[in-house]
Amino acid sequence: MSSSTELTEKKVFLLKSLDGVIFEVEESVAVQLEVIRELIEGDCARPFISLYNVTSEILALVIEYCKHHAETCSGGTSATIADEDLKTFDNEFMNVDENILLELCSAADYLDIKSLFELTCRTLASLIKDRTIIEVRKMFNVENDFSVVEEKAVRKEFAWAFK
Amino acid sequence: MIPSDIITEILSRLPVKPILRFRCVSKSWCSIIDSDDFIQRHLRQSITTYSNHSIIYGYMLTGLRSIDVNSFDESYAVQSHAVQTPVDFLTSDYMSNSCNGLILVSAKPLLFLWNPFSRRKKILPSASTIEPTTEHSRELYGLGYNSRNNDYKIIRVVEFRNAAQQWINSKTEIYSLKLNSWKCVQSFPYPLPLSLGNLGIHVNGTLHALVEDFSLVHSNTSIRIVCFSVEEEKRYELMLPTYIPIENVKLELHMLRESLCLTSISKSRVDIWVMNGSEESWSQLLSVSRTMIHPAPVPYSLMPLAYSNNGEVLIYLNASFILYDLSRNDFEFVVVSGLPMIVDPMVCIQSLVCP
Repeated sequence: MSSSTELTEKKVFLLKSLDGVIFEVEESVAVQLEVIRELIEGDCARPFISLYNVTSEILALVIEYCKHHAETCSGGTSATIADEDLKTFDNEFMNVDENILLELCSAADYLDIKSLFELTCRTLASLIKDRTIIEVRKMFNVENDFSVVEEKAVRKEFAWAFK
Repeated sequence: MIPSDIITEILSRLPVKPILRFRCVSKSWCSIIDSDDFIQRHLRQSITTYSNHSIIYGYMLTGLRSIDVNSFDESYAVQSHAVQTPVDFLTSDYMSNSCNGLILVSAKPLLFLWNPFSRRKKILPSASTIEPTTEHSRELYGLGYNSRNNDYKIIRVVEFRNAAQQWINSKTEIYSLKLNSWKCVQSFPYPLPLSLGNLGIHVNGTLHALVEDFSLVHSNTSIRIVCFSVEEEKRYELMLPTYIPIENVKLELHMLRESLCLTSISKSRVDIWVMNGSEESWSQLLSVSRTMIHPAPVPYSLMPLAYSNNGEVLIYLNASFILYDLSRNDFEFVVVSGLPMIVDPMVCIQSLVCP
């Protein structure tokens, strides 16, 4: 191998968040965002991509996640070690405030990152599993549009599920 | 505000009980949860991720219990929970196979479809006039699903035998949940082996049963697997594994993670075969000497039920559960709290499917 191959430039992309912060990412990271991979494959990817639905705080986390996954998968370690490593990373990565979790989930949906979407959905599901109705309304910012009588009736249909 | 398709995705990863509770969150959550689309999505999610699977065991009369299959991943001591039965049973009862979380229950004179985890039930119209006439005759049910039109069907086979227990003939009827009615179909031309009272191994829209062809009773081909396609209402046969001995062997059909499974127990060996769905070929899952698994003489009851996350096979063995490690060829007994005596276990998905 000549040294020229090592010098081949790595393709980078600039991602701009909703609040105008620009992140520089390598192609191996960018392609994990399905929306960007599609642009690249369709040869429509410009080096500068605006992501209108994601704040810089969340985009930084998303990039951290994609970077770690890209590095672990191409690191040459055995599949089982890589698997273990990703599991540990994912667990720690999910150890954030639940509002951040909800935003990460929306961002993973918008940017079409399947593994992150699955991870956040699963984590949110296990978070709310034992919560009360009032706690869940608050967490998801949902207004209770049932009248007192209506809510009582809906509750009565599966009263045993509240025990 | 979180968009409703994200709410749908999060909710579809929950067990049945909290989902039913969250119907009270708001009108839109309630309509998401009650929609057919959500019920199907939740079911698919449970099947593909192998979550929300339970083992139900016991009798309605004396009490049903359930154990979450995932709890076998964590320890060799698991907790069982009481399952609320839908009516008070004073008569003997019969439970069919489970299919997408539904079970058919016959508690004469009632016949109903029941979802044990959402506790919903639907009383079915009685089958037509065919009734077993002698005490040796019997009826059997299989419950199946037609994914093409999202319909559940019940196959009822009534066998007529004479006083010497010899098979005379069988009549077959089919019930469709969509049409809410029964109809007679071409009858089942085999006796169902008396020892294996099961018509209901349901895999992928097909019901399976082991039958014995009495005209060939002394040949190697007398035992067959009869399959009944729920959608086409057609019957066909499947091959047993090649070279499998059938004399002095107890053969049974079971299901292991959406695959058909055949157990064979002889005086000396225990073998378990799994059907590779796409190729319709058998592969051997395990083959061990009989005394290695259990020193007991007959009767010997063995039923593969599930895989644990660590790849062990959960097997029901003479009123206990064992976790069999295929790579080490060794196993551990599982201690069950609650009702320790385990009879008639079956795997049932915790689903929201409405009967």
